[in-house]
Amino acid sequence: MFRRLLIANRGEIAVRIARACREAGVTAVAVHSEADCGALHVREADEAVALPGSTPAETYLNIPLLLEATRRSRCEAVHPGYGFLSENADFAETVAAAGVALVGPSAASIRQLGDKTRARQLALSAGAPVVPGYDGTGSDKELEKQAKKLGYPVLVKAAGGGGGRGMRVVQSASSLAEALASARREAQSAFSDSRVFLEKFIPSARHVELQVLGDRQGRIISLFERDCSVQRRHQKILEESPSPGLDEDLRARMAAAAVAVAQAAAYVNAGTVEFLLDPDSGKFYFLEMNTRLQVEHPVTEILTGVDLVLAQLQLAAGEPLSPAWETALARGHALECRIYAEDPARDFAPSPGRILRWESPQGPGVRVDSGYAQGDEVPLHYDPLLAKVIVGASDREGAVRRMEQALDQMVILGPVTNLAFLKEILSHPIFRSGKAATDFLQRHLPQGGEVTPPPDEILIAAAMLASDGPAGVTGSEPGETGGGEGPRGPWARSDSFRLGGEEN
Amino acid sequence: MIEQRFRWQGKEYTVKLERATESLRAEVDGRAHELRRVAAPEGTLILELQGKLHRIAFARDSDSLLLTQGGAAYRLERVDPLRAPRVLQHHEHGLEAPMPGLVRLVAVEAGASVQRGQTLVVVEAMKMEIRITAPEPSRVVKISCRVGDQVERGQVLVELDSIGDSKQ
Repeated sequence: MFRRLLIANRGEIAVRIARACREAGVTAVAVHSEADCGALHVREADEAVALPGSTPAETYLNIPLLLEATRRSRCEAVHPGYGFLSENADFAETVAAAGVALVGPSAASIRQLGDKTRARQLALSAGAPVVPGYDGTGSDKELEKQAKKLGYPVLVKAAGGGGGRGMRVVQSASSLAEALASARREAQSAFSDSRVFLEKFIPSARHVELQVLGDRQGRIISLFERDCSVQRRHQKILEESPSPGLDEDLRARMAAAAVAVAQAAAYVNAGTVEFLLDPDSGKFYFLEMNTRLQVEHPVTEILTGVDLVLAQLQLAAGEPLSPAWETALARGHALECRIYAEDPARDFAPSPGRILRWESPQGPGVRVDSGYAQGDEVPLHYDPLLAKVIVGASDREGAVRRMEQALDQMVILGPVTNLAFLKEILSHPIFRSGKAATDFLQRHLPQGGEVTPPPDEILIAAAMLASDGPAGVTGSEPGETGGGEGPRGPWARSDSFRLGGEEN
Repeated sequence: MIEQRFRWQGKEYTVKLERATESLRAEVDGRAHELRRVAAPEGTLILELQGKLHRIAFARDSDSLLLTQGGAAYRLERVDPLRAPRVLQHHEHGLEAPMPGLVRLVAVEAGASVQRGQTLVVVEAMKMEIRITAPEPSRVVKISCRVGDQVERGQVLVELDSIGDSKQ
């Protein structure tokens, strides 16, 4: 095992990796931008290296600077987390060339799978079904012909990367040209690669992904699926396992297809093979393979008991697949909710700022992976993920109820969050019945859920606090309410401003 | 009886609070409640309404109160009945006491320049403190009260001269 590892990331995933390092006896070295100088991921690390600047380009995406930090801190390994440089083949190559181990697959695997059209070819060669499509190499006239052949609606997708960028749903031939042009522009700016391709659009499908692990000895296993069908504009917000849409036969066939794709890519370390599942026909199609740890990896950890980050470290250090992983069983049901600093009522606008109050839920089967704590500032430079709440229970209904309970307990004040929206999803009959597909939110909760006015108890509490004054409140004891006069009233007890703090 | 007003998403809410022997009485936009406040750790308020406990976490953010219960969070902006309309209550350049009370603090001296929203005088009434603030950038002409004074509603407490006033 390595002795020292650099975490080339921030937020909750950097905290998660730092903790795994400590358990494995590895010294965790954090990097941080100026905006993150006191961040939780720095506080949780053993050592920290400051990166000048605050934008991602200056800091967490800055390959020369990160390499320099790795060298100066004498780290033998780099964990890229997710996002940022985690699927950047040039970074993987540079790290490898410096004699440092990247906790992830080879640069060649990243490059091959990162190109979505090459990945489709690879999946086909491995015998995995792909969504009917056209690789987009021809002229616009040819694309038009192919789109007609596929049948509208079609999906225009960027070849150079995913995440919903450079992606357009096209309903009819008349809007194809415009969609191609705008998708290319977006793809060019997001991935420096304007190539696009076509896929038949499946409007109501399940998004089911398989976790795989591969060792340097060339062996690949899969660790069950995660269902990530609840999405808003291609962004996952709630994930679970097992998928309510799979039976044992389908699960086994998807797992076999996932392993075959990973094998064809000579894949090493943790990866995820994504499929679209048509719930009506039971047919599934390869979408892409993500060559990194997923945001939602804790779902698999709760389901199987396998620590995926620790597994990543062991695999990166050259250890073979553990028999314990191969025999891991899916126990009960696991569910994850992503808590974002964004305002559902304002079209999910990000809501940075200082966290004035923070309380994490607790209790049996509840886990919180968080990048922040009370008093922290949520910077405006980075993605709005605040925390992930993950629960495990013996069955799906139990997991959903446990999650509802956990979200009820969670307190985040300062930034606006999607907590209430998540609760609405959980209580929605379609989600509850296990039938939510990728169009669920758009069809059933398009406005980001109901905005309910403050209930009376909230207004009463506010009135008490307002009467208490600005200096904070201390609760009156029960029984005290009938009592004293003077400054010890029913609402206020201490108020330094009023009690003459400025006169002294 | 204390009255507080709040604004949430453009709507205004009025809450009246009154102490009873064993409990508190509240009225929210005309709906009456009887409640009890239970001891709670800092940053949390536990209210018992009709035998049901409500655990409400809160924080203050300048003129707003942030409150949350069961995942739903609210930012309530205080509508200071004495602030916005107070501009209309000017006697020439004087600021009046909005209600009978006791002067708790005089925060400025005559001759001082003050900014909009700056606290000039704090009057306490019915266990509630009222801040008399400058409605616009001004110079303090005269302070007409002292700490400990009992003042009547409408009594002029501070006289101001607007900075940049055309009459100057």
